[in-house]
Amino acid sequence: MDDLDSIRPIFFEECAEQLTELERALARLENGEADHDTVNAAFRAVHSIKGGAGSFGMTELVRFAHIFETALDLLRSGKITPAPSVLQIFLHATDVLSDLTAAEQGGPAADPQRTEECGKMLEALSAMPEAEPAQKSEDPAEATPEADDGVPDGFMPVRFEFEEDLSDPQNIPELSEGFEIFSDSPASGNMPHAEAEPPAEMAKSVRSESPCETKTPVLSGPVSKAPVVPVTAPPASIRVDVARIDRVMDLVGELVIGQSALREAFDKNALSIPGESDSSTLSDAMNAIGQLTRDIQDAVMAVRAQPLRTVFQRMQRVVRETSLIAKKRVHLITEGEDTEVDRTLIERLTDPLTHMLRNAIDHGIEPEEKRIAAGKPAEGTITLSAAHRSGRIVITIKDDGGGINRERVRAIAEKKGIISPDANLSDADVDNLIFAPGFSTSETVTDLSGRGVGMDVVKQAIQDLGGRVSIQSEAGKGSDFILSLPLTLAVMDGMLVTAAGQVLILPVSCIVETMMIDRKNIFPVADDMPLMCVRGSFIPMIEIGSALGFSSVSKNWSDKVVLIVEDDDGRTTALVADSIDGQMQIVIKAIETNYRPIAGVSAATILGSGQVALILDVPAVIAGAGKPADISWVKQTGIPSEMAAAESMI
Amino acid sequence: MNTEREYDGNSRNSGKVISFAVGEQEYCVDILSVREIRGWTEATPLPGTPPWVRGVINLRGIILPVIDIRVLLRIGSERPVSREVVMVVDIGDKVSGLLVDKVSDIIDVDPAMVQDVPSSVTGDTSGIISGLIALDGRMIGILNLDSVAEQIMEEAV
Repeated sequence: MDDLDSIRPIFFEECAEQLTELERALARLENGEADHDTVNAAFRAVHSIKGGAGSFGMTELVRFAHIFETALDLLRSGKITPAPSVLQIFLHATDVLSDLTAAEQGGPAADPQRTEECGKMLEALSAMPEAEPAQKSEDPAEATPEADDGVPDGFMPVRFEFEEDLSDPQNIPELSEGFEIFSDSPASGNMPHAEAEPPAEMAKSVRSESPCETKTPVLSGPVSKAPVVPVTAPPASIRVDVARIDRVMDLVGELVIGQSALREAFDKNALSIPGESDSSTLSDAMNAIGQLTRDIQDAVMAVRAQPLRTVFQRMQRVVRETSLIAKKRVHLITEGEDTEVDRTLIERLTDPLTHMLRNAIDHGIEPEEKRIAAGKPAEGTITLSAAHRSGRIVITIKDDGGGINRERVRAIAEKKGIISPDANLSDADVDNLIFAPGFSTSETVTDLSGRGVGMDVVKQAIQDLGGRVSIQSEAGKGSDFILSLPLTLAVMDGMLVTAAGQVLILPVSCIVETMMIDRKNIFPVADDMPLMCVRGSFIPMIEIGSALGFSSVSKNWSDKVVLIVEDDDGRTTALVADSIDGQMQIVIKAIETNYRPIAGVSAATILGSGQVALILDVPAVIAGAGKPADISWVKQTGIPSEMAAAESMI
Repeated sequence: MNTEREYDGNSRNSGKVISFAVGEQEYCVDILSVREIRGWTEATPLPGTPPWVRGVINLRGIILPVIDIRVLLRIGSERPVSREVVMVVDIGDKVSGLLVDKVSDIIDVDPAMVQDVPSSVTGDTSGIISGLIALDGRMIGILNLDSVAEQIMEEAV
């Protein structure tokens, strides 16, 4: 049993993949792409889950998957057509299948009543009046991988004739005494060879099915009629423990650090190397290694990258269930689901996206009558799209609903004391109020908004990922929620600055511009909060060193540099440092791994010198300096110097 | 009092401890908690941390916080010049560095050798020392690493 236990996680991983495939196939069918490959893909997905579940003795899952498979087989054999009503049942069944899988994985138990009902609906499909036997028999390409010609290379298909239908093992009572049987679809009537495999072969069998399928036309029918299908074997793939990839990632991080240490040492000593030619050869070699290091890093990042499809497909279900509860008809279109991002990001995107989609259905899409009155199609459309844009990933959630009702948002914000009644706000300011903590436009607690999560939590989650959220909304036309995220959480471009003797790193993404300080542009305000005039507008100045408590506030601005930074709300602040030491790609290392989170610092990195440098949490530093009540940590001396030690002795 | 239980404050109990000196005083931790001992390198200070957190250092790519035992235990004598070492220890599921003057030796500890800390020793440091070992006229305090971890997770002092 140990062997089985060790491959259980693989099975669940494959289930997730198969469920994604299934969703995808059903979505294609819904869009009218009812070709046989798609139907086969759906069938195969359910079949694989059933096969695997049988090996693990997950009877509930096998039972349901079998019913589902039987119903899909009806579709495959053309006995039923992919009408919207049928697809609805299949989609519903996909959700149930997903729940059952999750339950086996140790998640909450699936609702037995729902499973039962859905099973009945699936079974009822076979009782439906038979549709015209579709073009099935004419097109050899749709022969299934389970058909006799779909055997892997090296196997000779042999057909046995039995007096009884023995392809259904349930017809052989003797067999069930000695063996654990999981049944194949009786309707398919073929050799249950796929199920007889030992579970360890499962991964292989799933992979090997597709190439078999593409061979079918050659074997089984007149080639003339079949469209020439290029034999596109799926790229070979292996499963690797994530921890191993992370280990490689860490090592590459070390390599980057080592390489920059070499660079630093070289630059320091370059002049002292006798003979110009030596120096330039060395320099070329250094540059080559530098380039290679960067290439390796990119390659490892690519290994960790995954398409967003898994998250996006999950959102189909979210929309399906939410629109059911909200009693609105909503269609989700996904675009750019092949966009790849780091896997850490994928895991943490599900919750914010789920909530934003619920919000779009609950608050964005209007009730049907209202839509019709406004001359819109009764069914609402939400487009979830992703794209790479200048080194970041941009995810847009676009709905064709009523747009943000700014008067109402404003009224609620005033009522809840988020803004004062006389506040002068632009449209964009009002839109952003929905992200304010404690704001919820839902006056009555519905099933959707009653989950206790506000949009402020969404914003926080996105910010924690180093991302930004912005809104574009037009009354009557709909709203766009735009998420801009870094491609990875492991490396970033950092600006090295020195403040109070410490090397600190600012994310380059938040820096608008840098400049030398000019005394003429500094205007002190009463409580030690100087303002700086940048092209006519006054922005607050914060000394990085004193904000972190590394030094006391100095009034001496000479020879200092200023970094104009922008926080997520678009407000600019001037951060003052002693010097700017250059820009480099840095490997992000969490401080809380061995310590605990620190206000004003988001993480750390290791410089070429081997020294640890802190990465500034710019929004937190700005917020901390703006609110004297919150900066108890600023006042403390962060340097446990001899003095601090001496003080604590008293 | 059950001295066994007191001694268990170190979360591991192998019967062997590594003792170290801070000023004139001697302390020890269970040998299984100690990962390695390394020389002192300048730490990067962390903002908003108590004075006994010297900052973080780079331990082969790991960001390692360094706790100054001298400041934590309020041992007041002069700091020795450049003779400090960092003991890398496991505290729960985290790794920390303990900055001490020098590592002395490995001692076999019989539970009978462990005495309670007299109740007159109170204040902030009381929980950090979970027992006392009397050996050859020396007194060695047993450092309770779990209690150090609690101090770390508390809000900045």
